[in-house]
Amino acid sequence: MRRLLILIGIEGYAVLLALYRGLGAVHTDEAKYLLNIPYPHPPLARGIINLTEALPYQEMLMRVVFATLLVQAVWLIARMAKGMSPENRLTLCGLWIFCASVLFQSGTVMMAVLTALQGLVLVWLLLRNWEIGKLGNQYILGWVALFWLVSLFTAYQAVLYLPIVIAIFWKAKVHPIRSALAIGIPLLLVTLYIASNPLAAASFMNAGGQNVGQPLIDLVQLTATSWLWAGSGVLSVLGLLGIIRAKHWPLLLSFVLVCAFHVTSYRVYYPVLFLPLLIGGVIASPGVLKKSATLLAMQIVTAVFIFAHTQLEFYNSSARIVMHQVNQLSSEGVVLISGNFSHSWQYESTSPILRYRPSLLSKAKAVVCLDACPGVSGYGFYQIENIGQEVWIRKF
Amino acid sequence: MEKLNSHQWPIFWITVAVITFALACRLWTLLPLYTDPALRSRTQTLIQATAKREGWLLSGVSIGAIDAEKIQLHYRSYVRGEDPISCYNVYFSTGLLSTCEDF
Repeated sequence: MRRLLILIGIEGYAVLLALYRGLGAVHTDEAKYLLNIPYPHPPLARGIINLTEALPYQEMLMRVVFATLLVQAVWLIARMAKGMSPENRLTLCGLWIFCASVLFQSGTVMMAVLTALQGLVLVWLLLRNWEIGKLGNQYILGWVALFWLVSLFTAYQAVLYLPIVIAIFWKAKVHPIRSALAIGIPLLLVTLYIASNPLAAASFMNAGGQNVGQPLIDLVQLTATSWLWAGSGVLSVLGLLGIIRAKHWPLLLSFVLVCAFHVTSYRVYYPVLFLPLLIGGVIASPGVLKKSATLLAMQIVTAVFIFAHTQLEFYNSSARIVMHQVNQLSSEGVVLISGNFSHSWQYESTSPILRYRPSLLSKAKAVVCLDACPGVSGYGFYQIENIGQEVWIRKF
Repeated sequence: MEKLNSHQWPIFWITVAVITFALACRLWTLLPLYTDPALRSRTQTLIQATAKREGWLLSGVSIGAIDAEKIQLHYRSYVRGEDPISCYNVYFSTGLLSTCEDF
């Protein structure tokens, strides 16, 4: 009964975080996953997400699902910390629940969230006490290999946890050739996927080089901020301290890879990738949790401070406002948009969207001018007012 | 569970085989792009020019088939609800589009 109440309480927290995220706009990457637009990531997770496209509240449903997965992962953390004192276990669970990346990323429909969770499972597999019972590593390595394959086909970033996967196979004392095949073949397949998808390859190259030209000091600062943000400072420091104290090389190598990834292709939704490693660091070296009640209190205070100082985005995006009007038109035709626009416009639209070209006006039922729209006014369109954007509708 | 565990490696290898087959089919279609740099360059130019002229978003364009004469392109408009998909042949010589049903 007590567990059920905790579960419901945590779920309420997850739903609140999802609702908070839902008050903002659909991010362009979220739109890509919700619509199953085929880049940059492999199709597994976005294909599954897209199965729910027909549902009227797909976006909010997915936000709740992602928030639930991230917040309810606390049960796995409680299991990972089974060897700790009850006070330390509770502290570790609290550190997870109140870290900034859970607070701000749990309601986002982003692959980074799923990758972080997959990383947490890998850390659990690595740190599990395999001597107890017959469910040793060697009995489940096939599943681990499959999980590794699934993780890579969810998002490329899973490769950041490669040192952990190697360590799992290493600890299980499997024949090296078998280990190499189980780890290497999924990597080869994901490389083949990139080769077979030119758009993904181009996007991959673009992401890899996006920080080129930025001063190194700025990139290091950005990475350090991301790491501190990931664990709301307290878990960030404790986790890294634990990794170093325990001299846990697989976790440390993964940590370095995540840092390097931030330096080359930073995005605001990558801090969550640090989280499983930080949790692993604390579990590998529980001694860092001295004065655990104080640490948890500090984490909660930091979380509240961060939340209070974050600009809340309670608004409808231009895409949603404009497309809400356009979707109500009974006429057939495409929507032309001039200027740069994100995939969120496609997500809000029930009609095909094309880039504005004067030669396409005959096919259009509406034109959205985020930039200049030469020729639209003389082509049988009238402009609608009070919508915040220049929008033209076909006259009938 | 014990019985399922005994099948874990076969399940892994079957999954690998299925993915390999799917990717091999896809790569076979794109093989001319990997073996002929000139064709690759012409294809890139032609797709970009066609997308620009037709107002297409590049994220909706995929290559169905390719040879020295033409490219078969599929264009999918990603929207809420069912996505309209169309198929076109684009000729290297003229750069003009024709729908696949014409052939």
